[in-house]
Amino acid sequence: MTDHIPVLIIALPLLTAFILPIVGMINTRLRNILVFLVIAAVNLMLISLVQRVSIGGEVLHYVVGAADPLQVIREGLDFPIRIVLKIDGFSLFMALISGVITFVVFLFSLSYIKEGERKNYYQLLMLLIFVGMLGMEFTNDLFNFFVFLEILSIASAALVAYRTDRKHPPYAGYKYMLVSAIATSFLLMGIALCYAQYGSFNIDYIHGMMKYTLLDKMALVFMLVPLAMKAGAIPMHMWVPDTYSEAPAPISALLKTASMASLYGLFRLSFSLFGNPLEGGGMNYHTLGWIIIVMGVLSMFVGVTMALVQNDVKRLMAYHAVSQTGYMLLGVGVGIAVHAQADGGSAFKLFGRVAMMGGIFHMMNHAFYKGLLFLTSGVMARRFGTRDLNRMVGLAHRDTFTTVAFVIGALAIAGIPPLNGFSSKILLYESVYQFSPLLSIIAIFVSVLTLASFMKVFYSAFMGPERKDMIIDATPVSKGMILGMSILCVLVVGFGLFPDLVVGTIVEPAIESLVTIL
Amino acid sequence: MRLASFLSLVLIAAFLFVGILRLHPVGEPLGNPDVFKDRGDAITDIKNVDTMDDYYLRNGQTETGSNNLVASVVFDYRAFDTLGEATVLFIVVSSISMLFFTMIKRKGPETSGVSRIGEFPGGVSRVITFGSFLLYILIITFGIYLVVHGHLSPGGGFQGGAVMASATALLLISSLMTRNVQKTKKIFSFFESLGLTLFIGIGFVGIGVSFLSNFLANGNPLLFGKAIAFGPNPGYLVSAGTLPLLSLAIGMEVFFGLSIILVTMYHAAKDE
Repeated sequence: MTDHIPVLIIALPLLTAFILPIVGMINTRLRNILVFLVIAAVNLMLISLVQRVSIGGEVLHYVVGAADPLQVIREGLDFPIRIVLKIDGFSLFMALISGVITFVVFLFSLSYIKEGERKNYYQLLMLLIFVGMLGMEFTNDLFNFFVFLEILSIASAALVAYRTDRKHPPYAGYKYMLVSAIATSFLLMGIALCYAQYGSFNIDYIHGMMKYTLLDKMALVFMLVPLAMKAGAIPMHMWVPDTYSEAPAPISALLKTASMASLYGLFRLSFSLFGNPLEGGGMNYHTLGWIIIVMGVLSMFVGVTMALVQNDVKRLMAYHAVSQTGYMLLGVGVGIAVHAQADGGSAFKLFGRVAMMGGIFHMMNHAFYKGLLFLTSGVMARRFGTRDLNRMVGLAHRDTFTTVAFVIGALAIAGIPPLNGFSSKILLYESVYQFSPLLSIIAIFVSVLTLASFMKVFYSAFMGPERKDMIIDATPVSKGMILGMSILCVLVVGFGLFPDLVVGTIVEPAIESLVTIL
Repeated sequence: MRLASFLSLVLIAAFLFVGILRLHPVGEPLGNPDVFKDRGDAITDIKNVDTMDDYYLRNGQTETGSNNLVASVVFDYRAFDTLGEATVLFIVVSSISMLFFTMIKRKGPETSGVSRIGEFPGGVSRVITFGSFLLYILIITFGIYLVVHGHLSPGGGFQGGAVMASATALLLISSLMTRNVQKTKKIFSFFESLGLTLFIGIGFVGIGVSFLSNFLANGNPLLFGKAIAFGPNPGYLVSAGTLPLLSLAIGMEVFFGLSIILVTMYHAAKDE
């Protein structure tokens, strides 16, 4: 049975989503238990793989529908003929992030979203976003990747528009839908260009055959730009503030993780599909690295400056999400730029590796503290019936737990030790400084601005006198919400206190599997 | 701004045009030409193929027992993608039910069975209702034919399901299906989920070999396992293993899913 774990991780939540409308008709309590069980089971399966994949360095393959699921290429053939799933360190790392955040979001939504027939659909779509992320992370097939990206996009768009009784959410959902449709159709064009040349969708196979013709470079553009768009990097970030701010708070946290899956695609394709070996030849990898770096620096700087002027708490957090995405792009961009340099990879060994480690570790940290911040923003917005910071005051008097959670999240995003944001940012600052001091200084400066911006939120929403007349919804924070937030709090603090443990166990294998090019 | 968007459009078009000029010519085989030289007609030998699509063309028919090669790719070699595509449709149906829910709820359940469409004071003319009923039977029959023969002739689950759903549209406009929207939707939703569960259930049954494997093909003739020969032949209804079952599941899902969309949108849009 252990051979089938890769496909079970995707298929179990899918089966649950399919039967959820029927279960929801029977009993809502049963439905909640079922969804809880399946998310927990997937998380357990993912954790059980850590021993084999991350620590043992094994790469798991699964050929869907073949007579022998473990044999990637049949005897007598040179190419795979079916869809292949592949789990290596980086896939597992991303899947762990998705699993944790989905679990937390489920706990938080239990009482945050009102019970009713629409909640069946809410949980169903939430599960399918999870499936989409897992599929994108596990597949080794370009078209399959596209299909799961489509699942993720459409389910997210529907959930962004969940609150149809208000004016803006349907527009935000429509905008997200439109942006995703454009992005995915260009991605499909890129995939078609690869298929037209090599007659296969398998990433490893295409990489082995890659001839770096002009068409391949076009395919690179058509694949990386849409994925950067879905990840919310700067020239294509216009959908981020609208979507994240109008979606229900737990969905904003989930969307952030979903955009991380696109970022995974960007990194994965630029290495595993287009990456060339250290001996050089083929593509100019230095330029690609610099393009990603410039995109990252712009995202960092523009995101944070836009966030400083916001008065809407969720818009502010959404711009910070853009800004933090810049850090990940910067780290991995530096890694790509020095990876295939003429010095035989000595610069990469010296600092490029650490930069990538920082960028990728930051993905995990960011998902956790940003998820936490979005969840607290849900409590804030519900209490005051508005997202406007000018009309919030004195929340610390009544919601002590939320206040603590917010402070932890805000300090983590600003990179204050000993929280997890610091542990990944210090890796980035030190390594990027050796590549180019200016970039490192910009990164530190952006962190300072981030702190300033979150101080503003803290002072206006949590400090000040207690004003009972401004509170619209006084229902206490439920146990599920507290449990969800406290899981993230523990992870944020724990990863800050023991970063070496996390980096050694799952981040280093992730880098290893990403940069090892066969 | 308008000039900028026009220029970027021209740029992308030029970019694509250059790409198209360098694409592989249509009809010429990919891969090593030496492989294709000496193999003649008698081929189901996997050593004699050089690319993935060539493998499908040579071995797809005998390996899956399906005379429709498209179906063999869609429901066997790339069945996992098909599962994904079916999920996409399921998401769309669920989203529409979710987003239009308040809209229909607000209007309340339909009290009279009389539609407001049509000029006849008591409802729609009897000619239209009876005519639609007759057509309904014909369209459903044709749809079922397409679904069941998916592995033998052009068609299959998606196409047949869409054909059948057009019959639902006919029922709606002839006011034969206006009573009790919520109950109709519940029944449809049940069968939609059932279709998808059947699909993924067949996948799980196949897990003795591997997920979504075609474990019935070329086995027991009573269980869709009749083997077929290479080359043009009429085929058998009981060939192709799990393929017809998967096609049936997809047909069910598409029919009920699209019907839910039609019913929901019809009732949401009717009074505006």
